[in-house]
Parts: sequence; C-alpha cells; structure tokens
Amino acid sequence: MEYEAVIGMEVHVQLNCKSKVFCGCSTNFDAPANTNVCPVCLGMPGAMPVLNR
Amino acid sequence: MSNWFEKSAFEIREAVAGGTVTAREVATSFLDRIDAVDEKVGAYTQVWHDEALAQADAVDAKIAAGKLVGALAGVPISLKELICTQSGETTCSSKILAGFQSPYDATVTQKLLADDAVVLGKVNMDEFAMGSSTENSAVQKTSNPWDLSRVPGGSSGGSAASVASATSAISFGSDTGGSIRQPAAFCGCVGLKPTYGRVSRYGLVAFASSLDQIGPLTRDVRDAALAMNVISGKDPRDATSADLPAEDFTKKLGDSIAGLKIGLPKEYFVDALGSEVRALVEKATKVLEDQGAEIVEVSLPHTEYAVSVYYIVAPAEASANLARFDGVRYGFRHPDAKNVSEMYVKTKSEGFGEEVQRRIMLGTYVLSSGYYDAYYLKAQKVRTLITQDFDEAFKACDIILTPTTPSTAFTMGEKSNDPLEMYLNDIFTISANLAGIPGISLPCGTSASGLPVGFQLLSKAFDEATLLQTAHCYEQHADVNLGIPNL
Ligand SMILES: [Zn+2]
Repeated sequence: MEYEAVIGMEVHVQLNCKSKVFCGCSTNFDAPANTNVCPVCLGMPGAMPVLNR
Repeated sequence: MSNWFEKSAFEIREAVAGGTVTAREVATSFLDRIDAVDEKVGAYTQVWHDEALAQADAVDAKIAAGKLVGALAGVPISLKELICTQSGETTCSSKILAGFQSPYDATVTQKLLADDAVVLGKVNMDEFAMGSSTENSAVQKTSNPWDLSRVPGGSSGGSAASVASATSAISFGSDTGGSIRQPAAFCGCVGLKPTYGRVSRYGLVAFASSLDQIGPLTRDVRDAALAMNVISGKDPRDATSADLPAEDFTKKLGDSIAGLKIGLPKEYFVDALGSEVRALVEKATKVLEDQGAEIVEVSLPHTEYAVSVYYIVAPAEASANLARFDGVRYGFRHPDAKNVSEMYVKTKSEGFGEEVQRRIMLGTYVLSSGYYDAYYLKAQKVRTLITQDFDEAFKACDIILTPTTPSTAFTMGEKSNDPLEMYLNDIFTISANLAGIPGISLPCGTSASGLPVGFQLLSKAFDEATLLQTAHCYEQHADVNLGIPNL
C-alpha cells in the first residue's frame, strides 16, 4: 500500500502587536480586568470582526 | 389641524426644521397613534415614550438655539428588533435574547440619531429574521393593518405594519431574501433593499452575512431616498461596506425616464403568479411605458434554482452565526442543567423556536464533511450563475420589473405548518440577495378583497439612484394611493 504523507501544523504564536487581531483593543498585559474588551472581541450580537492592519 | 402621523418623513422634517411644528408635537402625535391602534396591530414590541420625547426635545432645543439640524430632524422612526440599540432591548424577537441589552448602538442607529431622528421604539419580526409572516416571533403576533386576520409578511413584518398603520414615519428593517420587500408589498408601503455593502451591517444581528442588508420601509419613494442619504456609506467597522463617495439619493427624483429600458424577465411571469397580482403588475408596467420607458423582455434562466440555493446558503451562514447563542455570555441560559453540555442543549432547544432550529440543523448538515461539496459548494456555484444572469440581463436593460410576491397577504396560520410553501413566498425576491443587487417594492393597487399588491424594481449594483428615480416616476403617475387603513 502506498501512503502519501500530508503534514499539517498548527502554530500558536503570541504576535508582537499592540492591539488584538480583529478589533482595536489593547493587548497590554496586567491591565485591570474587563478593560481591554469591546463588543467585537466579546462576540456580542451584531458585532463584526475587522482584520487589523 | 392636521394629524402629523399621516405625514411623510419629508414633510415632517421640513415642518420641524422650518419651525411650523415642534418635534415634540410630532412625536406626541405618533405616540398617541401607537396608543390608539397598536394594540390591534401589534407592530411594536417596545415603545419608548419618555426617551422619544426627550429626543424630540433635544431636536427642538437645537432649533431654538439656531443650530443646524439633521436630515431626519424630528422624524419618528422605529427599528426592527435585530438592530442593536443601547436603549431598551435587542431581542431578535427570540426567547434566547429576551431581555438582552446591547452595550453598543449599531452604526445605522448611530447615524439615525446623529441626524436627529426620533426613535419611538422597536418592532416585531420573525425570530432571527427567519420567516415570511412574522408568525415565528417568540414575542407576539403582528397583524396586517389592512385585514387583522392576515399576516403582515416578514421577516420585517412589524416594520411594514407600523408604517402602514402610521405608527412610524419610517421603519428600518433588514432583508436577507425579501424580508423588507415582501412585507412592504403585503402592507402597501415602499420597501427598499439596498445593494449589498451600501449600508453598514455593524450592529445588525447577523442571520446570513453574505445576504443581509438593512433598508428603509416608508410611505413613499422620496422618504426611502431620504433615509438612504442618512444610513448609507463606508463603515470602518464593517469590512464588507463599500467605499464609495457619499451620494444624494434624491438627486434623480423627478427626472424623466424617457428612453430608460425596463426588462421583464419571462421566468417571473409564471403559473405560480396569481392573476390579480399579474394584472396589477402589468398595469404598473404600462404606467412606466407611458412615461417613455422602453419595455423589453429579458431572461434570467437560473431563476428556478434561486430558492434551493438560498435554502442552502442562508441556513449554512445562520448555523455559524447563531453558534454564539450558547447561554454562556449573554441571553437566556437554561436554569436546570447538570453539566455544560446539557446546558448548551437545553438552552438552545428551549431558547430557539422551531424554524430557527430547523435552519440551524439544515445549515450544519450542508456544511458537514462529506456533504459540503454536494450542497454548499454546489450552491455557491449556482449562486454565481444567478449573478451572471443579472449581469447579462442588465446589458439589455437599466431596470428589471417583476412582481414582489406571488399573492396577497395570507391568513394567519394558513402556511405556518408547511415550511416549503412559506419559503415559496420569496421566489421573486431571493435572487436580488444572492446577486447582491438593490430592489424596491412599491404598492401598485389593491386586490378585489382590498389587500395591497406590490411590484418590484431591480437595478444594477450601486445604482439605487436610477432605481429610486424609476420608482418615484411610477409613484407620481400611477394614481395609486392606498391611504391609511381604518383601525
Ligand atoms: Zn476588542
């Protein structure tokens, strides 16, 4: 039997960005709880992700 | 002494900005009208008496101070239950979002408030915009103001019923497969679905993201154009909103349509079309022909597949969009579950109504591995063919004219046990969503039993100006004035 190797990689990297990928919230570590959040990153109804530039 | 609730948004704005009436007087007239008739109609799910008057007072204060006021100054409006508002609740007429308060305003809400509209409250809809009769609302029944035993259409049934019964001057709904145009036809008002991308969807609770679009339901075409001036435009928070220069949608109103080519797609004048509706749509065509339009036959050969494609694409997107309603972060959570998996199951089973569950299951099935290629991928290909049909047809004409619905408003309960028959209500409206083009439904008369009949005009993407010009020309010369029903 012939096999074809298909290799998939899932890579988890913390990007060196000042803001989150789909909204403008800060990624600042150690901020007070529930401050670096908005309707988009909370997945609120109607909110839409926009890819950061 | 005129009743302000009978006036168009355009007339109200002129009078308020010109100082002939205060925004408070206008708002009071509408609020009194709601109190008088909405118990029968059931359009409103929330009426914001105090807040509406406070907004009206703010408009009056601006005018008293000599400040410029917005394009909808003092115009009383209502919003469909799925448009996010920080005020009140945003429930999508679903049990799963009962009591949900949005922490933010939709872009459309923000724009309307910035242009000094007065929000009277929110109006009923089919749960999560899934339905064609508003009977799928988990909140209440809404009646057709012309015959209370009949449905107002859907899913923006509350919006259409509210405009028709004169309890709001403009109502903002959403259209995924006909949800603005079909209820507008059933209730005898004007309903515009803009081009996909013309109006920001940020803050519109998503049903099918590649099809949804917010639009106005109004008493006349000018008001629809006025509303479009306020709500359209690029929004950095909606990546699918089109980056086009601001446009005045009233600019071509009143222009002659002489030489304009209007196409009649032969696939739309089929047996399913009732004879009364057909006769009135043909009469409407004649009105436009008399104004100098050239009537041509066009073909949209893939029309017969539109409903099938829609009921694969829309549920697929819905199943992804509605996954977030899991009882964890917001909305209803079943109180009686022993573990997290049971909590999900019980929350969704009790929180969602039958039609929503049906579509989530349908969507999950067509996206599942092994079926994806056969259903979803195939449907996307046919969708492209449907879009190409329109591209071809618009080489031969500027505007396409069709019926909006096969029949007039049906009685409550008549179709609620037969989902397939309910789906066929949208056979004439669905294609525009699949192709992303704009469409407007206009009243063109009443049936022998006194029910409104509508017809639909379609244009190329982003050509709302010509669409509104044609619609306005019809309205000016058609002598169709349904008035306000006796309630
Ligand atoms: Zn965020």
